[in-house]
Amino acid sequence: MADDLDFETGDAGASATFPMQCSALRKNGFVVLKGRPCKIMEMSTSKTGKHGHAKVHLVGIDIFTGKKYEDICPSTHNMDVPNIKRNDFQLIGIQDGYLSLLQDSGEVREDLRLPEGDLGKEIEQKYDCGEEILVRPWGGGGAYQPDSAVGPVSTHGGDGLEILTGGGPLLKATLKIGPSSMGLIRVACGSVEGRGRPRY
Amino acid sequence: VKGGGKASPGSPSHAPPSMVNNEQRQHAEHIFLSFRKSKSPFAVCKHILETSKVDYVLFQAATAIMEAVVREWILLEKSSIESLRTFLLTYVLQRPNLQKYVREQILLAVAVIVKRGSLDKSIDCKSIFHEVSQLISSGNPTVQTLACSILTALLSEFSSSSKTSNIGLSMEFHGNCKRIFQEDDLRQIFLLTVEVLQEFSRRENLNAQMSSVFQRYLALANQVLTMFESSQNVMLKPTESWRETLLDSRVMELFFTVHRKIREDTDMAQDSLQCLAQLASLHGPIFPDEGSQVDYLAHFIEGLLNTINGIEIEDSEAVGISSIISNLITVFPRNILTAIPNELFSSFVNCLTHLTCSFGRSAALEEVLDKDDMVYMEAYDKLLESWLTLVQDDKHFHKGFFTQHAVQVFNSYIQCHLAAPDGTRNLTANGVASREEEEISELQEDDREQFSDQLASVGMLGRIAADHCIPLLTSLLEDRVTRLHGQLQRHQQQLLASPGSSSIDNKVLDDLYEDIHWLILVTGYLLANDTQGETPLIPPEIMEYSIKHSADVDINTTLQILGSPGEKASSIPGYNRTDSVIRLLSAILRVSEVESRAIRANLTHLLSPQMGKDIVWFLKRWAKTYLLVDEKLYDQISLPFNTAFGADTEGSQWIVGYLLEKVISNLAVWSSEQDLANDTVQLLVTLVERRERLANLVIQCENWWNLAKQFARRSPPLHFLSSSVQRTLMKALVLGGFAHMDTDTKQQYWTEVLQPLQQRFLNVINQENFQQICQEEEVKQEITATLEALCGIAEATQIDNVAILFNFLMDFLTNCIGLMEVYKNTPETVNLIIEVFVEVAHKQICYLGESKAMNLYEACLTLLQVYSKNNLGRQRTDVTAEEDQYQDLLLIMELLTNLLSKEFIDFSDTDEVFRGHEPGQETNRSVSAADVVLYGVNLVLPLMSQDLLKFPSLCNQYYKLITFICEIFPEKIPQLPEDLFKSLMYSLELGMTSMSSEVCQLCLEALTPLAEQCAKAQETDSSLFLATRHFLKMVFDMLVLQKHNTEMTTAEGEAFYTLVCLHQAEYSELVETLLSSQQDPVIYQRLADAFNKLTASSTPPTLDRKQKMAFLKSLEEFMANVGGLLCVK
Repeated sequence: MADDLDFETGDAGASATFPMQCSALRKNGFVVLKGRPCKIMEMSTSKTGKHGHAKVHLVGIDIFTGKKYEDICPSTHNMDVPNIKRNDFQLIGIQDGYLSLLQDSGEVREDLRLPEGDLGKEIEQKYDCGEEILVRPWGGGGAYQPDSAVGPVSTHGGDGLEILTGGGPLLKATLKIGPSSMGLIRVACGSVEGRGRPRY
Repeated sequence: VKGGGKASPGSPSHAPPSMVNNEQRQHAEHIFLSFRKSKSPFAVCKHILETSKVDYVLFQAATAIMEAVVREWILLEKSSIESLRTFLLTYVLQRPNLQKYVREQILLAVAVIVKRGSLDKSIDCKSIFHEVSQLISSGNPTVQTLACSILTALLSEFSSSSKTSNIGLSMEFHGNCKRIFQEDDLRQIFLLTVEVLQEFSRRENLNAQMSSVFQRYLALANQVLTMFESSQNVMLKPTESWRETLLDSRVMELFFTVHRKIREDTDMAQDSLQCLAQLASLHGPIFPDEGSQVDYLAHFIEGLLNTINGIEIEDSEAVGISSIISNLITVFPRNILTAIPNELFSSFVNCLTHLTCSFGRSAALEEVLDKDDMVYMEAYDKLLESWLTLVQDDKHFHKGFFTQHAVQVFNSYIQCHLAAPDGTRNLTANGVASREEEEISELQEDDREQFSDQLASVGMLGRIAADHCIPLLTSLLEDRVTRLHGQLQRHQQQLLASPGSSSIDNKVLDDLYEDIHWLILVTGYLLANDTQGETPLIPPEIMEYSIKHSADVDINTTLQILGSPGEKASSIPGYNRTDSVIRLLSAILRVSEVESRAIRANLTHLLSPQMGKDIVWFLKRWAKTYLLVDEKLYDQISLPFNTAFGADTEGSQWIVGYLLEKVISNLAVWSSEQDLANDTVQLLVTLVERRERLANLVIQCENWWNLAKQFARRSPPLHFLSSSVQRTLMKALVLGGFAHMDTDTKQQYWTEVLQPLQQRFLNVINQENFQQICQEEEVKQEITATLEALCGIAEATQIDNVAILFNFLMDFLTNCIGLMEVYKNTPETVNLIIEVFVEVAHKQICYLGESKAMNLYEACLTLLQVYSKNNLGRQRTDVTAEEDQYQDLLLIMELLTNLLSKEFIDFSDTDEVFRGHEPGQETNRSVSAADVVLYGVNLVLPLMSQDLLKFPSLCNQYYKLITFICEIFPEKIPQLPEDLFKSLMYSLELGMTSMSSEVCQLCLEALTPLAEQCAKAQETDSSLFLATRHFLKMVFDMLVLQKHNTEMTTAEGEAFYTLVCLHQAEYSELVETLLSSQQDPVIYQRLADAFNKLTASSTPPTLDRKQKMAFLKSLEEFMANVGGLLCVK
């Protein structure tokens, strides 16, 4: 299946996954199960017979689709751990329902659709008011398929989108984009403080 | 009230389920429930009982009577109560064909009336016993059964246990009833029962109906004898008034006779054995002197031996018989045991030995057959425990008295746990071996824990018979080592001959591993005790044994046996002239050496991780007790021990080196076996935590330094270890750093261990492009490893190193807050950062003086601020959001609770431990614990949702925290920002109304300090004042209008009283409103009187302890009088 490998297409030079001994995996960490990048929800061990060697039982949920995957393997085995990256892009424009995002490299990408519904409206509104907005796409290998990332036409896994308001009043502006798109996007509005050196 | 008729309109039985829909059913239920609450339903109920033919309706009528009598007790004429009781009893007597459940319910109503009446001296209910004894003497089985039912109902009602009906009275009332009942009425019941049993035991042929009556009375006798239980133990400790009854030897004989007669009936045998077990536990003031106790015991043992000698014990008897024996040994003091005739005592101990071995074999069979109900295992456990009790205090017996018995029990235990041909493990009764490979989950306890009680007993018996048991274990182990070695070699040759062939049968290996497993466990328990907190000592029996033989021992050969684990013991010349205890230890070192060699030969996949665990478990246990044996702790010390493991000996140096090597090898090879790795680092901690002596030896080893450096480099294989193992390893390395070293060495050590940690960390976070690369996996791993290490360092905190460790960790904490910002979108990292703070607060806050505590508070406050900034107003939609948040909040609350704990546990002496570490700093009182905690609560509250409160652990932690806050800083509550204050009050209200009773209790406990705070502040317009007024109404309603939970009375009462003091006018108003709504003048008067009495002792109410206590006492009476009265419809 083609979309099984989607998340592995990463930045040039950065490997999409790296191996780790099963025993060193941790709950809340990430692992590739059945070809999908998963967050580890449960981890338990068992053995066959009292003098058998440990096997690890992993339960993870696909970080894009929320689907549950399980696997069991000898604890000496190496498992693939996905390279998860989260990047912030500054929103510099909205055109024809697409977001213009400024990358750290200075390039602008314009392949992310403005979400429909309340969240989209809110982003537009904030943008119109001149507030600075950060968009945080979230994907394996630091990349995702542009057109399949957002937009109702996508055929990949479902996802959500999020507004961060940096301590302001709670905005319940969250929505699902399409039945099955694959990148998870977070949109941050308000401060850009987080981008510089931490101030505290 | 025609409810009864309506629900079942004249039909003799219920409508079939298919004819009734759900709505109709609910409607019918509702009619019955409201009927039961209706006022004075007595006439209607009587009418129903006399005319209705529907069992269910009869049952409901009886229930309604019972509930109404209790509810309206104070309103009823005493004579009408009595006639009601007579009516019910006669009713049952006249209708022998009533359904059982209807009859029992009516008798329960009778019993409740009798019990409630015993509180009111005005009613005499004694006549019931006279009536019952007449029924019994009727000789008619049906009537006798009925009499038994009456007595059973009375017993259940008076037993003051879960069987007691809920009649809304205090536990004190139930307790008093029970005490009075035990004195006299219970004895009457017992005598009536014994009479019936005597009668039956004399009869030859019992028909079915007769035996059924017999069975009922036997069960009743059991119920009587178990009624003396005090809180936990179910022992028979009656008052003197029972002396004549129970010391009458005919009673005891009767129960033995009865048991012999019915022992093949599984159900009845349970009861008769239970009666005997109770009689075996007889003690207390019933015995006028020791002589009578000796007589009783001798008589009992005779009866017991007569009953069980020469019979084949039924499966259903095993547990009962072992309870009898266990009770005898536990309850009767040693001097009484030894005072019975010698021969009798010997027969008793022989019988115990025989039974123990036999139950042990049967228990092993049960395991093979994988039975659900392990009766023999339970019986075996009880008997082994009895042995431990018996031999522990052996000065009453002559030396060696138990040796032969101990040998037998020990041998049989070993035999059951070894494979054929030496043993019988996994053999079914007809000698067929069964072997199954089952899946074992991590939740299953290790044998060493699951069977720790058995092993402790067997180990103790092994010490008593050390002359036999130690050489036996040695030769068995040495034999298995040789065979294991041979078997592994054959496997290796096979692998070399045909690589890749996997047709190796592991049965032989598995059998060897299982044998070695049990031998190591038994050896571990024989040579050393489980100790917690105290200094472990070499058991005196072992010390004596070694000393006794030391004249025949050649020390050099002993050291040679010890120091050459790679060679066969028997290949060393003069190997028979070695110290046996040391040779046993060296046998286990030989097992360990075979394991190590197999690893070097790449045969790890053939090894048993379980055996690896056993080895390090044993070594840890052994090292704690024997290594660097301290002469000062013993009267005399064995020369071989002192030479081999004493301080400043080559032997101890060699062993420490050997153990370290084992630890390093295990951590490298077994990183994938978490339990084994964990046991291994625990061994390492043992080596360094006794700092004054052992640790000094450890740090002289080059291997120790290698380990430290390797860990600091974060290179394989150590970084494969699971995070908990890595933490413990860090802890051990830090502890080792506090051993005695010269300043240069110490400096060098910290340079090798702690500084790299700091350096690597700083190198990573100070990179120009850290922001860009922080998500790269390599960087993230580095950060994670550092955070894990910090948790490990915090775990190593002790009072004498807290100064150094705190200062070291503080630098990190500041940087960690920066990381919170960088990783704000990486929940797993955020979670780990908070955990570091939790650990530091948990381990260190209690030692910190004012200024240091302040530093920590400040750091925690900043942490919480950053967390808050990044999470408030944010909604995440990804699938793990809720789980992540749950974990963060749980940790934050743990952190706040840890910080608060400083208020109860404080070992600090104004920075005493820090003196000399740095120049005195001016204390800058910028932050207090209260500020941090309240800020934290401020942060946590908006994030808490009712959904999150559905996680029980989160809910409990949350309410514990807010109750703490109310108790510790009540003065801060009124100053809270309005929103926070409101959510706090709402949380309390929610906790009182819709959470568990445990949470409700916590909330009630929080109210008292809040009300006291208001009283102190004397501000009648503050929002807290208004809130407490609302709570007064809530608690008032809880007490007066709702079904009462007696466990809660104290918490409710305290909160109530304080609130009443604060709002006297409102309280009077509440009472007035309640009274004015009463239409019935009688109820009005009762209520008014009850309220007057309630506050009589405390008018005007003041916050005075004495008055409060008086109020609480009146409240109990108040609840007994009017509790539930107002629930009447």
